Amino acid sequence: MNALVNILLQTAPLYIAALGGLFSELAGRLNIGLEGAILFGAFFASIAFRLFADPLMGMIAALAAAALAGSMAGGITAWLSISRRANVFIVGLGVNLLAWGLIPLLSQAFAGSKGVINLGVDSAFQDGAALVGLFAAITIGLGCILYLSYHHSGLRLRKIHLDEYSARIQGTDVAKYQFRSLVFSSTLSAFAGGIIALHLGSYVPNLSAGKGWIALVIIYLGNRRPVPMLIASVFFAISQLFANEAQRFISAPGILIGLPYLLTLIALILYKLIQKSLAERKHR
Amino acid sequence: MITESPFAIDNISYTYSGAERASVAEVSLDVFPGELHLLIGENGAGKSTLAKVIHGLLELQEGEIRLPASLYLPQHLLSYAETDFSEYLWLYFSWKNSQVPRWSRPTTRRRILAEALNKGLGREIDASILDEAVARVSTNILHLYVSILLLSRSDHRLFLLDEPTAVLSDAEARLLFQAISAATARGAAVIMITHRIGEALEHAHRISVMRRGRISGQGPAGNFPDAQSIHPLMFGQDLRENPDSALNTSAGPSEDGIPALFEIKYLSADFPDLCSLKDVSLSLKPGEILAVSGIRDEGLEQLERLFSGRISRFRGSAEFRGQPVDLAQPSALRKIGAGIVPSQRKRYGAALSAKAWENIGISMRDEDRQGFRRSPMSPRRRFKDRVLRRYEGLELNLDVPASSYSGGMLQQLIVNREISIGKELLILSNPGWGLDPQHRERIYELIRSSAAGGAAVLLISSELDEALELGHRLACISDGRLFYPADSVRASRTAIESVFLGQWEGVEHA
Amino acid sequence: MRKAILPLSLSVLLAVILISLGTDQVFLALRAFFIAPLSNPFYLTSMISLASLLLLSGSGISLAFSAGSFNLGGEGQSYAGGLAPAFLMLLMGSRMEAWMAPLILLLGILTAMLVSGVQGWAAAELKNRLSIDPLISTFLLSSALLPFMDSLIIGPLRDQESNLLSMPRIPEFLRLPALPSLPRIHLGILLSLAAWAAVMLWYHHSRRGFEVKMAGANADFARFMGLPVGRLLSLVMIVSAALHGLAGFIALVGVQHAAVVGFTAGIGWNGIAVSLIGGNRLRNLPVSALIFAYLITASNAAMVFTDFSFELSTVIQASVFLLISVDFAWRRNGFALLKSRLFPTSGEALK
Repeated sequence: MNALVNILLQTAPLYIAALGGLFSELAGRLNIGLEGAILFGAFFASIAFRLFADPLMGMIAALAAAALAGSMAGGITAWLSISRRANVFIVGLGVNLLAWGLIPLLSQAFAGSKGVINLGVDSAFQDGAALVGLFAAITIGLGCILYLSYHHSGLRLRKIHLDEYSARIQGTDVAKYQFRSLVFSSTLSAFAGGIIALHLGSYVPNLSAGKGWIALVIIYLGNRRPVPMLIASVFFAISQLFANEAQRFISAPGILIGLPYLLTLIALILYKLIQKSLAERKHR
Repeated sequence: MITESPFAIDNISYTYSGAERASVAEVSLDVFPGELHLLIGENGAGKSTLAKVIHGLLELQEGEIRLPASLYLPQHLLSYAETDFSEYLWLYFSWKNSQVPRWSRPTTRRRILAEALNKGLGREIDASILDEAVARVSTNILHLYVSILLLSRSDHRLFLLDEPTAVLSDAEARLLFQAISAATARGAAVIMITHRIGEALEHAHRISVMRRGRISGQGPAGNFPDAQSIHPLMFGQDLRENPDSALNTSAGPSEDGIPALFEIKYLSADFPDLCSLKDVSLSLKPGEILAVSGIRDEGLEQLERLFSGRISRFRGSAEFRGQPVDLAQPSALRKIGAGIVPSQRKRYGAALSAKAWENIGISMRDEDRQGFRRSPMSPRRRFKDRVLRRYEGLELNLDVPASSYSGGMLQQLIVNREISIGKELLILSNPGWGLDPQHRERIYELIRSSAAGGAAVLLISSELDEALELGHRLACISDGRLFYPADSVRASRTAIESVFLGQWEGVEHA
Repeated sequence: MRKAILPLSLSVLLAVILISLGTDQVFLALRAFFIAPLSNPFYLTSMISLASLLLLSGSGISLAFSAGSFNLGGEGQSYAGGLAPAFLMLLMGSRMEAWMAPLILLLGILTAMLVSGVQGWAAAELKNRLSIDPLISTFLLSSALLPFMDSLIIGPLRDQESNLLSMPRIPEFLRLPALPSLPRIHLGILLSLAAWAAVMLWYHHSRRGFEVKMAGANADFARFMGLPVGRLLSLVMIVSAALHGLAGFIALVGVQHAAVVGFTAGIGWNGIAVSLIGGNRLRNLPVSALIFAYLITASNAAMVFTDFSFELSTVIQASVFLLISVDFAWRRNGFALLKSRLFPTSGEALK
């Protein structure tokens, strides 16, 4: 039972970030800066949390700060890549590196430490934060499903990546959708980062541990649909938990840090293999 | 002329970047509310470009447009994956449409769409088709339903329809014209581009004919009693009386004992976005030019894709010198040494960011004695000099990026390159497309001399003039079927024009 | 190359601002940042040595770009390229003798290129067979391998006698010869220049290189002309990864002389920055590698000489990434936009 809850709590931020990435993918401009957005979100959430004495206020402020930081990162990505026509992949890498480089500096300035920022919360609060994350994931997930399935602009967004030219002919303002989707994707990822930090009870460098990249793979494994993406998220949450647990029993520490990446790659390969063989069977 | 129209399209010109002549030149259209305005012309006359400029898909470069927001039906409705028909239709229907709900369930959408379609068509549609994947909906239904839905929208006063009837059956076209009449009756203006002149004439109020980017005739429909009265404006006067045609041999595959060099037998293939090829057979002998002409989407595009190895599934066979050729292999025709000139010259004909000489050199990289192969580290310089020397006669500066070339220069480069590759077999798609007369003549000269030198040439052209001017034999393609018009048809310009447009009624064919 | 001037200036400006904010010894720090890499022999030689490694990885990245694909796995490729030969040397242990040095070094180079090249080949195969973008497969593969290799060094392969998280030092005779007074000016610099020149020669003057270039310029056209576009991608990805592997090997035998944890860190990402600064053109890379090595060394110097304690190179790298592909013609475009707003000419006004 406990393990099950743990899995769900791990799934939530991953799923939120993947939903964000989904928007950018659907708009045909995959945002690979999610990893950086998660870090920014986690960091600014931690900073904002410490400003308030009341943990509840702190949590609200933290999540708001995370979302704001994410929308800034997304705004930069979107402005550079859509308005200024920079390569969206390189800009995404830039955002990731910016998070790596800038956060220690900001951390020193605002929190007086380059490394871990402890939030000084008890485990009840951490669980509470994780539950908030779970609740947010459910809400955001439902919201995304409703928007993408039932809103007329959600339908437009969903079709852009299939054929940008047709979308334009059908009256979709493609650049506008792309801009907003990039901003939204970073915002959600950063929000997920905020949840991770609150759940951990501290900001830790490299707390994202590749979640931004895994989120991108989740989009593919979930075939760009919110519900299958949830299943993929659960799979990766389990694999991450497994890696964490197994760590304790293995003499060489760190050997399993790479496991999520490896599983991600293997899952991607298996998925493509299955997809390919299905397509071949269909033609025959 | 003083127009009372609130709509104005004055003196529009549009030149694609890199093109040397304007695709649309100084065009003014009289558009009036409550009228169907036909826009007629050959492929490449500039009609679609004009429509895109009017709609705002292409930026207005010169001239003035004062129009209400238009609804636009493009010539090709592409289907794409993961989308069902109701979603596809909804995207067109919901665009800037304040009359549909912003939030809607799929069933609601289907109901609204079905109602609009029933009303527009005047009969109950089979609503189950709305659940089909759009890729499985036949092209004619796709075009019909989208255009009916657009025309049913009373919140717009201007409709631009690009070839809406091209893929429709006669009965379906009648339904479309009903919808157009309903729209004009409530005061909307409809501009319609069409090749099917005969049926459109009955419904038209006003007609404009375009030729090579310009308006060659415009006026109320009463001035044009029948299709024959429009053909001269479309195809030009100069060639009418005495077609300067190379046509001389008999129509079908000739039987003078010389074995065919290249043959296609009973080839059929399906295409996701275009009509199928149906039992196409052709054969080519050394030294002859076989011209295949018709509407581009009725078979020419399909043939081109087939020959450039982009189609992997088809029935039928191909032979070169009696040996089978597997056209499903991407470079099958390249392996037997064919020269192929693509119609999309910037996508398939050249790498624009590379130097012009490199775009030629790519065909010389295999040459044993002098190429890279013999001396694997042969300096680029030597290779370049060899390319430059061989193409000295081209009178082009080859040491600049291909992106700096005009369309004509680029085409000259491509045709020259392919002719030197394809000493035996040449496949050319619209070699003269978009070129000024001077460049055009130069390229035709090249093609003729190559055929005179013994190459078998397959000319795939959507321009009838080009096919008539270059071809020794003529075949027309329509709805994916290849026809060889009889001698009597070829003798009459009028009959050929009708055949070109797929109008076979009353025309005898072999 | 000229396009990089503005992004680089902005990046340096950002670095200066951050330094000014991050320390009280602003003047000292700025002097260290701008002067030390050129005046202090240690920093100057480190800079040159670093530039030689970046030249290799930058060449690899440029090649991949020229074939229209990304290689984000440079970190793992270079790490493997250093670790595998180190492991090999550990295995051979005392059986190695000084006279074998050239042979062992050659074997090391081959091993380095093999273990890294395999990673590039795998990414290309995944692209050709399953259309998985190298952008993501190279990154995932490298990220999966890095912690594994780290834990090898920390765990079973660790030198028990050393305080460092490191494998045993390689024997003296296997170190690349260096200038006696300047230990950082080693043979590896020549080696990487030679490799870069060889890649240039191959890319510009061989038939295969020409084919790679044309396939990268327009894959549709190349396929139309009958080029084996998929095989060319494999070739390029292998070479790209092998160049990273070579960089890792030189870092081992030329600079660190032992496989220390994280000893090649940054070669991959910095290689991308170097390639971008050089406009992804091979011939610009020596200059752009020097520029970028200067920036890294400068920020290290600023750190050492003052209480400024941050790794600025990542921030500089990030700002280069963000700014390098931006269309800086925006003043002109902005003006055109303004004009079209003020004087609408199309149907816009009526809508």
